[in-house]
Amino acid sequence: MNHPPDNILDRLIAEAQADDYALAQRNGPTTRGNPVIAVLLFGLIGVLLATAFWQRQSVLPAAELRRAELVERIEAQSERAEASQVQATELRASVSQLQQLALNGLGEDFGEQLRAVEIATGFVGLSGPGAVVTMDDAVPPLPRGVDPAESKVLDIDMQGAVNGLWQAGAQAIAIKGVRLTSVTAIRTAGEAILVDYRPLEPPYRIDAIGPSDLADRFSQSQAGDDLAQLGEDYGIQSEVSAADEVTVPASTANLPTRAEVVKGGGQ
Amino acid sequence: MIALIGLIVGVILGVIFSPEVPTWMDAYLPVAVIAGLDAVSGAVRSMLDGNFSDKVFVVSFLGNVAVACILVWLGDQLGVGAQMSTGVVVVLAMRIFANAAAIRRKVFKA
Repeated sequence: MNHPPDNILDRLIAEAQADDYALAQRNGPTTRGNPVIAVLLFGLIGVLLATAFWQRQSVLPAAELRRAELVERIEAQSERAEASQVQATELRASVSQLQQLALNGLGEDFGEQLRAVEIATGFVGLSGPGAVVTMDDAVPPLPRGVDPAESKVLDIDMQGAVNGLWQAGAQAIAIKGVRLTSVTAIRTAGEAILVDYRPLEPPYRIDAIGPSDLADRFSQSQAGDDLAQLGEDYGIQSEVSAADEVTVPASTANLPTRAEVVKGGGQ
Repeated sequence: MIALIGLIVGVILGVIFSPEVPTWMDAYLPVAVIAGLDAVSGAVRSMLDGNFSDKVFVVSFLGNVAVACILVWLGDQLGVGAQMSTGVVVVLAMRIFANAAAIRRKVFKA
């Protein structure tokens, strides 16, 4: 190390690169250190090198492993999807085969039975004679002593009307285009009435298919009286009318795809 | 010669035991490794020069590792840990290069 360079960067580099051993020697006779410590330090450096190397090596496989795992899962799922697709195709084929059988081999009876089940479960859209019931929240002026909060159509009111319609002989009912099935709930969530978990807004139009005197039978039933009483007590508006042509759509409710018929307990 | 044996034994020990490195040491391990390489290259150079000193080796290595780790730690606290370890590695790499150049000149006379 000669005269230190003037440039600060050069000086930095020169100092950083200074040969410690030469400098130590120049500062006086070198004192001997402990060679054991030096050897131990060499060993430590070796351990450091190996550790750093191994750590890198072990980090990479972890990522690789995860990737492989994901790939495996994707492949498994794809296989499952494919299998399901194949199964769906097979089932579809067997369904049409069975339908063909129903029409040919099993005769009229089975076809009719199938039809009845389809109607009862809301599997198909229907149209026919029946009744239309409309319900709506009260409009001011409200009857004396009625709170505005009480002047709304409640889920229980609608349930009453629907049950009355069933009782009066309705075969298929839809509320504002939502087909009612055995698993369709009518309930309140907050301010809205949910039918089949879909929020509906008033006015509520209930379409029911049934005998041509359905409207009359409903009006004369307990449910019809209750509906009229609701109008008197709370100002709930309602109207019941017969209709020559009522249409109800097929149900979009989830069919019980996980349920299976109990062996030997069907009928 | 005994130093070289020590180094090799260390590597073997590291490979055999492959110690689990705690996460908080992640930032310091590479710096320590580079500092170790610097110390080794300096030692080899001084051996060729004939002025190797155990004391200088021990003190310079421990000193450099300590300063490097403290700098990186300080940088971590200040939010510039990555830059600091870059700076430390650059300086140490420069020293390794200088030592390697000196060794090359000695060994190959070129």
